[in-house]
Amino acid sequence: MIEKPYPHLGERVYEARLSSGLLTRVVPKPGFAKTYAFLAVDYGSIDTRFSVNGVSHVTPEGVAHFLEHKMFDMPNDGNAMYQFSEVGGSPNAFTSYDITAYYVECTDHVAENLKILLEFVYTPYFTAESVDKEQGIIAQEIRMYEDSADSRVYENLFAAAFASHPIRNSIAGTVESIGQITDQTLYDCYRAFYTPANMMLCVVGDVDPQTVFDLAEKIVPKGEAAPVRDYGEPERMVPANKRVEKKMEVSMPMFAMGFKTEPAGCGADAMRQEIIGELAAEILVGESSDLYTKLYEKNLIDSDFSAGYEGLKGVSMLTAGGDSCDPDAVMEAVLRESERICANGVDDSLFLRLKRSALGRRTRGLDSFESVCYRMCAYHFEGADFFSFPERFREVEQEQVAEFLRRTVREERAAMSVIYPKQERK
Amino acid sequence: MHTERLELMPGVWLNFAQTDRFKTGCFSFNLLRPLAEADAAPNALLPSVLLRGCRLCPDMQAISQRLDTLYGASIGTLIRKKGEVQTVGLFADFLEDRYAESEPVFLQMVQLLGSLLFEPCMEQGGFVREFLEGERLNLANTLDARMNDMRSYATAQMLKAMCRDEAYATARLGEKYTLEGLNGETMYRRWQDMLASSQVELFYMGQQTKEAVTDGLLGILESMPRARELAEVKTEVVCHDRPVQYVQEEMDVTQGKLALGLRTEITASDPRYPALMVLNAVFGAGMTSKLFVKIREEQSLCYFANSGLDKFKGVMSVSSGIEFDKYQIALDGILHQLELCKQGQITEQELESARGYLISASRTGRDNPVRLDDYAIGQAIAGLDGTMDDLAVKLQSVTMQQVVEAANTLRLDTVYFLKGAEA
Repeated sequence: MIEKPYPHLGERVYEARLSSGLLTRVVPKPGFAKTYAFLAVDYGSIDTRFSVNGVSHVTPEGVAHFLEHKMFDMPNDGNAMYQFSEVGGSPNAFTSYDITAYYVECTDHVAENLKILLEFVYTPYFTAESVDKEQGIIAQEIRMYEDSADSRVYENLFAAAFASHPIRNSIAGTVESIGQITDQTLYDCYRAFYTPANMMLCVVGDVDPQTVFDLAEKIVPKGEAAPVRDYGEPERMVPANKRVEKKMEVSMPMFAMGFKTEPAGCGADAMRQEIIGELAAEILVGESSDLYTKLYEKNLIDSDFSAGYEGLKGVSMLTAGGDSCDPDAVMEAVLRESERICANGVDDSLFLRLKRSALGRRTRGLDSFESVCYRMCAYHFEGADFFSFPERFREVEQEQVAEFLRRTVREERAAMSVIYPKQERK
Repeated sequence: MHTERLELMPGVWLNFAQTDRFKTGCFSFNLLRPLAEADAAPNALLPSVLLRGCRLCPDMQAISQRLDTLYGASIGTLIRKKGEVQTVGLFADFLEDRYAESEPVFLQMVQLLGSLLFEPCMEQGGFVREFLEGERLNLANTLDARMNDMRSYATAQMLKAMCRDEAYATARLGEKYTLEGLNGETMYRRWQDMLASSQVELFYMGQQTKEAVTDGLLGILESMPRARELAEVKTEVVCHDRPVQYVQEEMDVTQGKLALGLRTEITASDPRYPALMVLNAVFGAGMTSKLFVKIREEQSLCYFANSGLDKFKGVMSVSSGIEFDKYQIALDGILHQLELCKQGQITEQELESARGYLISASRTGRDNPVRLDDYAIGQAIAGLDGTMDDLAVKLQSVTMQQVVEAANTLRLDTVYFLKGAEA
């Protein structure tokens, strides 16, 4: 067991690599009623092509999400939900583009809850009947997303901007693609990805680290090496399509713009680029920027507007989106502002202020157990240590941010997704 | 964690919680207003106008820059609907002083709050016209955008039909037409009247001592105008005997939304309320509820189906997403599950899962500043004391019979269905 103190953050992290290969971290939080146990798999919707022991697999879109739904089933008509409810745990799970995670929040019986979490995720049990039934439920979920303009506007942006990377496909897949999933598909993908070497366990709460490690050591089975993933050809920096439009039941045009940029490297590089990207978005069009103020005062954006950096394996993008009566005017203004900043350089005091703000917000984010668990796992899968963020912030210099903007926020790298109202409303 | 409720000035209450468990401190400032269709939107507009500028920070950019300097603090509007009471105010959260390297944050945040509330930018005896017009447009757009979220839209439409003769029909942010004809001067007068005549509920949670917080807040509150009479706020609980009403609406959507409204005479101040909470959890809240297990998992009738309570009004809402042609079968299925509850067909396991879920949720409430704030303000509005920990104790002793009795107080009032437009 390794103990890592982070005195400036008021945190202490305990870490152990179990004999199964599962990396486990515990962040003790004395005085809190709840405990959060989070088991993550380095497997998301983008992992549709991979090879195990030299055998390559191509799987339908939406398997990671489908698998997440079906993991809760246990042999003999059992279901992990009921087991958790008997010991007062509230379990949940999610699938994103690059991660699947299962977690439970509880106040009592922490050991029992952790045991159920580990046992159910390490017990694959799929049948043709249960897969068949789930297809109905997930088809409904997909329909619901189809009606949601918030998710559509970004999905459309990714599908337009990227030529071949699987981020083009929606996380849940399509009604057609999930129709191709069988119990065998689930077993294949489970065996490939749900191996301890490709997963991480985090526990945050008023718990004793050694107890957690001992319990996990007993339950987690040994597994194979992590699979090799294939995301296709590297993306060009020019978007495949510059513009995508759709009409939906929305009251005002909704937009998402993206600027493709070079994917980050591994480890500290990934975190550094994310911080650079975030600061670039803040300088360009963050809430305290000149441009944000100008657009807001002209009623071209409202307080729902946001901008940030998205980085996944093989793709990176600076994005901005919200509602606007004139999305093209916003795009035009963003491009012009980027030119202006690149010509004039980034002001010293502005840069320091934004760095202080971003660092303060990240530090405050440590209050959220869910966010701590998620970020510890997500960064670990990128090869980085989440709690090193203060050092990464210190390293970032304004010239790097200016260079990022100069290279990224330009017309030829821009793509735009707009959802227009179906009809004029009174 | 030490909690206390104290009256800082006549009708001005501080709900104080001291703890050093968090890296974030927070406070909220809330004016309690009677919910009314004519006032709800103009009231809701005010905090947004305040966030456009004040003496300390004369425009939005100055406010944002100030918040950046204060280690990425944030301040936002906070409008809630609690039964037939609308709370209108601001919420702030910020890095605790012990993590701020060079300058303490708390007092500066209190001062910023004071300036935003009591020293707004003015012109010609009223709010700045440009600020008001900009925010009026934003609020109008927000009100229009409610229908982007079909799920909450369906529930709102159901409540509107069910409570059409009651104040409760009014949505949290009100109606767009009431935003017409407002100007800087009338809105400024509205704000001054509200400050003077409202019960004020403040919430603070963080590392500061009671003295530091009361001193800081009294420092800004001394400039607040106060009237002798305060506006009364209360919620009328209605249980009438009338046939179920059915409402349908058509829109171009791919998934249908079914919303049911039920009434009960049990509200938060009723000793039977904990039993109603358990009943709601058995029936439709959480992953072990009958709606989730029977309707969603076993019969695949829908993607989601759940129920929720308004503890101030005595209303239960059921919300579900279904295929258009499953309307009757889903409705029958949901009502059948409720009927089973009324007949006492609840297993020990269902009861204990529901109880465990609620107790755990109450106990983790104190780990969450937003929920602590919301609970404290809710208790203040209902005129109740007692923390979430106290509630957990009461939930512990609820019996099966009490749950069944609570189920039998529920009467179906309104069924609303949002279906796809005919091609």
